[in-house]
Amino acid sequence: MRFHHRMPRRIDRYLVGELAPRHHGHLLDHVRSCEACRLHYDRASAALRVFEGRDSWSPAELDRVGARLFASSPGDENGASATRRRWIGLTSTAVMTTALLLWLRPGRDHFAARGVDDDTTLGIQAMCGRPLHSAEEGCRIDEELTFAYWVDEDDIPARDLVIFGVDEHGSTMYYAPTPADPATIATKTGTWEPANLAVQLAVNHRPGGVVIYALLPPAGISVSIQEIDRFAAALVTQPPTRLGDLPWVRRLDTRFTESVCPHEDDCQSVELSILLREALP
Amino acid sequence: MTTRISAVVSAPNGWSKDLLAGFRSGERWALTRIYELNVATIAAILRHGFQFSSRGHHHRFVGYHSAFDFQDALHETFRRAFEPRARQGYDGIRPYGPYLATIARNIVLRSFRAREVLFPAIGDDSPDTGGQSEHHHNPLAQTKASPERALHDAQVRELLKGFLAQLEASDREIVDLRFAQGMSQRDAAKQIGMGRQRIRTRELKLRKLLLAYLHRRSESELVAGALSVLLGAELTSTLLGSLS
Repeated sequence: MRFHHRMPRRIDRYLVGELAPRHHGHLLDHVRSCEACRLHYDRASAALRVFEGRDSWSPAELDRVGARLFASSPGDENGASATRRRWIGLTSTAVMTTALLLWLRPGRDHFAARGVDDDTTLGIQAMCGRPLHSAEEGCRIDEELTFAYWVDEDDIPARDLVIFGVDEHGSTMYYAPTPADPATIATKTGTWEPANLAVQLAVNHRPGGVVIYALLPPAGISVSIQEIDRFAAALVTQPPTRLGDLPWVRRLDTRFTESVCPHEDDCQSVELSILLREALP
Repeated sequence: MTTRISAVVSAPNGWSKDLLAGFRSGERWALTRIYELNVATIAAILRHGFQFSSRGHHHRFVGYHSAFDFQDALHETFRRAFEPRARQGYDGIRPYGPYLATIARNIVLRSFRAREVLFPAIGDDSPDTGGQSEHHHNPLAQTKASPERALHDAQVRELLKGFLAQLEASDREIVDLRFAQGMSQRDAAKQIGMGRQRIRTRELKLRKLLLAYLHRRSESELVAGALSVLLGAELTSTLLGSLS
């Protein structure tokens, strides 16, 4: 199995007890079949043994095995609770992100502390109005919508961020690219960045709910309008997102995503919901 | 004077009746307790190895060098032991430790043919057991030092010194109290005058810093097996040097 560039970081997070239990199985299966990953795992474990002053094994190792053993025990709510906390954290991120355009840029530690999903290195926020405020508070249809994004500093820079939406009527809203403008957003890493696009909501949006989807495909892969249509058509048939659901690319059948994301780890995807209200009279 | 005598209700294996009942019905608290009671013994078997004979030859399982393999085998041992059928079949009469040890050995021996490097022969002068594998637990069996050890000595010393040198004095003190002196978090917290939770948070931060440091410094030249042994000795000596 190939050595994924994010694996070392995930292994480290597992070893210090910071990787969510729901990711343990996938991580360990991968390490079991990936020689380079196993080497990394062993070296990091050896370093931690030394750090804890142990020759044979560290107490933390036994804790990890115990956690793995009991992760699926009946009645264990720990994983679900942790997931809930992370998602609550994610919601609070939306409010904080308004600070971006007020020049109160959250640092990477802030971002991590608020607990985005463990595998997710992409964050997206929607804002509207003047002065700008989080779109999760709702936007009026006569306002402009804009976005900010975060790509983890460990990620590959200059990947093309794709953003689109699907409203409650099932209509696709193209933000980047659009049928008229194929440009996507060349990402920077490590800080919140404005997406440098403004959407006049009154042009083609209607009052009601809109789910915004962001996708970071592998470097060098561009996403066409036809592919966005395919994603949107599949997403509109999905049940409402619940707490703890997988990122949207991983929820879709691979036949919808394989042209853009041949391996599920290649793509980052996030989503958020906003509510559009009537314009002021 | 009143003397209160409390009757201790125990199963023949020494567990309380509640623990035995909880274990058999798969209650999490009971499984956790059994894990805590036995994990060090099983870890010693898997890490340090044991001797056994097979088809007239005596072998020694040298223990898992790979932390991943070690943890995997440890997990598999308890997973099997905690399966519903195994739990419900346990009567509480036989000692539980040897039962777990047998599972652990069987897991190791299952890979005997595939990984003979872990199972060197140790001579032909021991009595044959008639083709049956007979296991002699020897947790004190030690593996030979890796031949790469000398080659990487200086590099490892440099790495650890570098890591410790960049730590703030307060962090070095935590490392010293907790890991060189072996204090509990509670005692270390008392000594330093900070809360136990803060000590725990700092330890987590230090672990992450250590891993990040090692990866940044391209520890790929190091040999994992030698790393633990070498850094273990270096940690103490470097700490003593830096704190004196």
